[in-house]
Amino acid sequence: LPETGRLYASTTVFRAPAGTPVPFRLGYADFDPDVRLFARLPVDAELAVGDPVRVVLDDRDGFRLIAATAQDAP
Amino acid sequence: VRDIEIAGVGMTAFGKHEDRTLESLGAEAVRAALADAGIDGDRLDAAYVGNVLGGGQAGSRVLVLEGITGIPILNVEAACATGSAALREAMHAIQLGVADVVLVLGVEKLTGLFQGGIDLGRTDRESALGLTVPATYALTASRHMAQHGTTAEQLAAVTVKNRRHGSRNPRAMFIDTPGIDDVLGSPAIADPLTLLQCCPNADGAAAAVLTATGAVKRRSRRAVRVLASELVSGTSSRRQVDITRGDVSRRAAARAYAAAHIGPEDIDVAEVHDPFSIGEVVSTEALGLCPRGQGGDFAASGASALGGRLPVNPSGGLLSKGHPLGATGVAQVAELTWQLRGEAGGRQVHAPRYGLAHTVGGGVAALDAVASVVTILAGEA
Repeated sequence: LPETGRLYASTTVFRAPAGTPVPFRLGYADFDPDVRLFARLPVDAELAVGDPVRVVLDDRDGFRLIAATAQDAP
Repeated sequence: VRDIEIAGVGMTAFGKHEDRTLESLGAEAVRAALADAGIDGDRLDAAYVGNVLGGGQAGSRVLVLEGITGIPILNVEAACATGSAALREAMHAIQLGVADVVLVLGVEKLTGLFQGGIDLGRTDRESALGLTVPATYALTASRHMAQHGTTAEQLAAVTVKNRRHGSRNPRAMFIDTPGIDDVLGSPAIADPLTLLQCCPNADGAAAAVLTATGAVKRRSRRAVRVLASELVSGTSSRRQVDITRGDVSRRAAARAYAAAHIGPEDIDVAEVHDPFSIGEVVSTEALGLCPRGQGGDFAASGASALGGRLPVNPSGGLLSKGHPLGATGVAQVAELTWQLRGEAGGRQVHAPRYGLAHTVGGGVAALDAVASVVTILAGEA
């Protein structure tokens, strides 16, 4: 996968089945050439649809999406 | 191919029937549909029964109460498209000539099964990370807003419109009529969707009697024919597909229009799957009822309200009626039958000729949908 992708869609979830703490944020991110990843995002991240994101490994969820900074750009 | 008519329809009120069983709800709808058709249960050649979460054998459990035994009784399941899928199978049985008079029943008893939203108990990655059903639709809404400029107010307008329609439907769960501010101010469920943009879980049943034309003496003044009912299943959602396109509904609609030899411009009234406000926005576009990207304006402008260019969900939709999963698709066809006969009372669309019913079912993370069904009915000019 390329280092950075683009946030395709996201939602902050306020109601979930018992046992799942809320709120949490979910999103899809697109990576070239034709991969769409689903992951959690930081709830408070300033991330809009279309913004650059990158993948970070996470013990609980496997991986998460975070905002990509200028230094992450290829 | 044989012509097919809807000889009778019936449904229970939708809502919280805490003191009723799945079996009694189903039997009530069956009796109503048989009475509307003017036939007894012994005239039936087969029955197709839609139910999702009732634990199996719903058809036999209901029909034995009405003394309907021995004939082929098939249970059908396709998530939220379940009732529609059952109707499609009934249509095929008549088209193939293996049956002349067929019962379609959709029935669901959700009260008491779980608290809050539907918990499918899945173990895939998406579900483990918290992808609830409302969150799935919220992601589509998020993308639709960014890509097409749809606003929160336009999404809320879907609820406002459908709740106004539902207030005229004695079988709907909700009869009050919230405004835009009420909808946007209701509790957040999954951003941007608020509580009043999510349909309630409900109990209920709906039934229809389909016949080969001429197989039973027609009781209603106007015939209602089934021109087409097409089902397609979903495809992978792990590629970069445009989730605002409603591809599965688009494919089902293309097949249905081709089979019916009409186009979206001919439709006079539609019952469109609206489990969430964004669902109606995406699906009205996918069905060709409004231009691409303009589903929000279609609802907010009044074009899809009663009295507008093309009324959508005159029954009040799932947002007003509630969503007893297996019953929903059959209830849509009951509504269109009443509309095409001119029997819809205070929510009657002016002289409709063609009606379209649409459902789309989901719940498998790797797929954009389980299935979508589009059914097209014709009344008499």
